[in-house]
Amino acid sequence: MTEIEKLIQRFKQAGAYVISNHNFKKEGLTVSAVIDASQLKTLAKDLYRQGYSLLDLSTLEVKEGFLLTYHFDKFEKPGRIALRVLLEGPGPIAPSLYEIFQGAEWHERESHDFFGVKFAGNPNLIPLLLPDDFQAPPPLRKNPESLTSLAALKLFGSYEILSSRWETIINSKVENIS
Amino acid sequence: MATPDPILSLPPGLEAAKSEVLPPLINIKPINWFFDLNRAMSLWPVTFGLACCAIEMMSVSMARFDMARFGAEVFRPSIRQADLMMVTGTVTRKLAPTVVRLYEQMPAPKYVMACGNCAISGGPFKFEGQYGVVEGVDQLLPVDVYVPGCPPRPEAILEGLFFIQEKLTSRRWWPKPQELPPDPAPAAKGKK
Ligand code: SF4
Repeated sequence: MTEIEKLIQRFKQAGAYVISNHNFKKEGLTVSAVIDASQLKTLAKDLYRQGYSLLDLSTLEVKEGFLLTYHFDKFEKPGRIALRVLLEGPGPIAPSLYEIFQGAEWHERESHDFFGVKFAGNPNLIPLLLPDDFQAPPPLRKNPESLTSLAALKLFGSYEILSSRWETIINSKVENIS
Repeated sequence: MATPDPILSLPPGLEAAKSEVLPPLINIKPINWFFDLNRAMSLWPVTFGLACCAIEMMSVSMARFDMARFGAEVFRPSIRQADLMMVTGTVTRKLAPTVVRLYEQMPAPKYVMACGNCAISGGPFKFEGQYGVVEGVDQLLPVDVYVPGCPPRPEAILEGLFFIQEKLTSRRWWPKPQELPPDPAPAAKGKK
């Protein structure tokens, strides 16, 4: 079993919703998985043990909620992977990876600055890039009508869906691509 | 010294510099002129860059453009030893209170040069709904000379320095740069 296959198996074990294989040359990713927020910390710890480091955390506001994407990579050889977490509903909150990758603290603060996503366990969730006394709502929040749906984004290369909820999300009809 | 423009409104939570420069204790014209001349010929800028324009400030102090020829070579790492603040770059809301504080720590007489479009008006970052940039450092500090450009050429920064020297001593000390020969008219080019 190759390393990638092992990873995929591990993701499945952790109850991943969607697992996709990507074309590394085209997309810069080998595997990505949509997982539940509750599994994030255990999987991140696993990856840490295998020598992965956290590259970045990006947040995207879509119709369904907030999609957090964590990129991981190894220093020794190429093979970037991504873990995605969808936070639905008002008051998005995700577990903090601060205890595993300390650098995550800043990425999380940035997300909190611009989207208002909260991270449980981040010891210092104060503005990173915005001024301390910034009053207005998070500046990168969109107005609800102009949001695109996840299905329109074509994020998942060749994918395998393991949850019925995600079946509906990914296969839903795309209405507006602007 | 210019006063901050009251028409432009500051973003909430920011305050303009409050310190004022008092008139000299001994106010005798020739003596003042003599001191001002000395000041003008040894303006010490502070090592202080905010964004990409700072690259041009570094360039102007290096050998090719050599600001040292005009007396402004000693870049001071402490604002308390400097008398020229070159605001080179984007003044973000996050950093604005620090810029004001630095200005107030500077001993008078003090001069401010707003270098680049960002420091003058917000430059490329001025658009509707922007949340992070102060649109013009003159809302915070009294600015003596504006040097436009994105970024300004090193020659332009030198000209800015000459303007401050002129402001202090009421004359220009350095020869005017030669004008470039005019471009040949496009029609004449075509005939050849
Ligand atoms: S004026 Fe242009 S070069 Fe200067 S700091 Fe702004 S963006 Fe950068």
